[in-house]
Amino acid sequence: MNFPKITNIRVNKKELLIIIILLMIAIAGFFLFRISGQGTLVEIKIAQKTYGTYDLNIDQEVLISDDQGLLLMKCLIKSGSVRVLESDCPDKICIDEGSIKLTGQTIVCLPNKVVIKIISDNEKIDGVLQ
Amino acid sequence: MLIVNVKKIAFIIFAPLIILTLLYFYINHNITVSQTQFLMNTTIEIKLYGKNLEKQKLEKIINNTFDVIKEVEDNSTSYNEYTGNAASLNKNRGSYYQVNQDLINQLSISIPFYDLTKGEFNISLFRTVNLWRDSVATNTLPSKEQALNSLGSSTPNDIFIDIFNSRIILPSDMEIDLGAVSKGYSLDEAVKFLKHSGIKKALINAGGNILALGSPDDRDYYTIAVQDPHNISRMIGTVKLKDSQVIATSGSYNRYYEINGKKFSHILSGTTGYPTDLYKSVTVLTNKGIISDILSTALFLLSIEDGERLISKLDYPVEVLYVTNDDKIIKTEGFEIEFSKDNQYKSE
Repeated sequence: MNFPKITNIRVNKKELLIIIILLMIAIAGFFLFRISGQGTLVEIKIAQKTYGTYDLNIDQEVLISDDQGLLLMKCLIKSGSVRVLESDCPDKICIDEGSIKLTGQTIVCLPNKVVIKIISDNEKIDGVLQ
Repeated sequence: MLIVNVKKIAFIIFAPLIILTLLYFYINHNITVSQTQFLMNTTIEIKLYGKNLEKQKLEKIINNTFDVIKEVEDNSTSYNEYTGNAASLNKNRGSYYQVNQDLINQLSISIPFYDLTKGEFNISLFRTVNLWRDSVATNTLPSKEQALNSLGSSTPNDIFIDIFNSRIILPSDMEIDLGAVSKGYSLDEAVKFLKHSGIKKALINAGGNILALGSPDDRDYYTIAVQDPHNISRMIGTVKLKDSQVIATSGSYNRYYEINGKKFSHILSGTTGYPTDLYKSVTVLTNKGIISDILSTALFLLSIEDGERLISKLDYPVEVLYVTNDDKIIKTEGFEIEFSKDNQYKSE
């Protein structure tokens, strides 16, 4: 039986580039799909009372309204970080604070008595019965 | 002799392999899409679990589900008039009035609970609710007599429902308020729509009512934290909510009428028109949204013995957990809960 003869193993630049790009996509993809499983939460409180808890890994807009249903603030959770987009407070310091993403970090809006905090969840909780 | 170009073969095999693998992960990777809206006088969160490829479809389904809930709200509210809804029915008392199907469904299910609870669960309390709202505005406590008078002499049993023509005759001295029914009913309608749209996994959290459809990929249940009535940032424990189960809580802690600095529970007795505070909270686990809503209110108004009697008459699986005023937890045997290590309650 004739075995195939192996020739021409030298790789040229163009092919090397394609290999590297493919590898990079593979690695990027791997991390992208792995990391999005981690459980970190955004906890929003108004006057010490929990308003809601949201998954930091789910991109979403959160509208914060008071007891009367009046809109106080608009927050954006995006790519694992949260920031205040709009607020009806006079000083807008909460908007200037920018985005937070690490466990324990907070954004505080004193006029609205709103505290936005990043907390980690040891046990995964899907919903809170209020 | 066969000459093989190894590089070429490697490329032909591996390049598509890598691309296909990536594509597979991209399409198949599990995502959660969620949205929160303020409806039915509470914040409602709808969470759908699906594949990455379906993301836009899921987002669209969530929006449409909120539309379904909004429609139930409009059909059931006693505060804004729309043709055929509760507010219009309240205006058109004393003779036949054409109403929407949601109203017929909710009334048919909730009226029997008036007799089942010896009059405690009463859907004709709109005037009594208004009496308490006005009392908050003027900061004066209504007298027992005022509260009793606001109930009127007719009972929900006097409501005539003509199912064939979707018409109702409401007694002329009565106005209805489905506040203890429609939130739960809207969950049933929402899940009906989700199933119809091909959704297999979803969690709907409407304040005090949570409904599960299917379960997450890695478990056969959703983990639900039950909030501590004393301290909202803590929890009593966690409950495993399985496919088609609903859990609902009524408590005196989160909604109340405040008069002269004193807090009164928002849950009014159908026999006295006055708030009751037999418990700190009552949590019900069952399999229908509307039943969870009705029972969490009804059981809040009844003694534990009367509650047991009520449950035994129903053909629904029902488990209950009470947090009593002296900080004891009393629950039915089948109510499985994993208590938090730091919870301060004694179990009985």
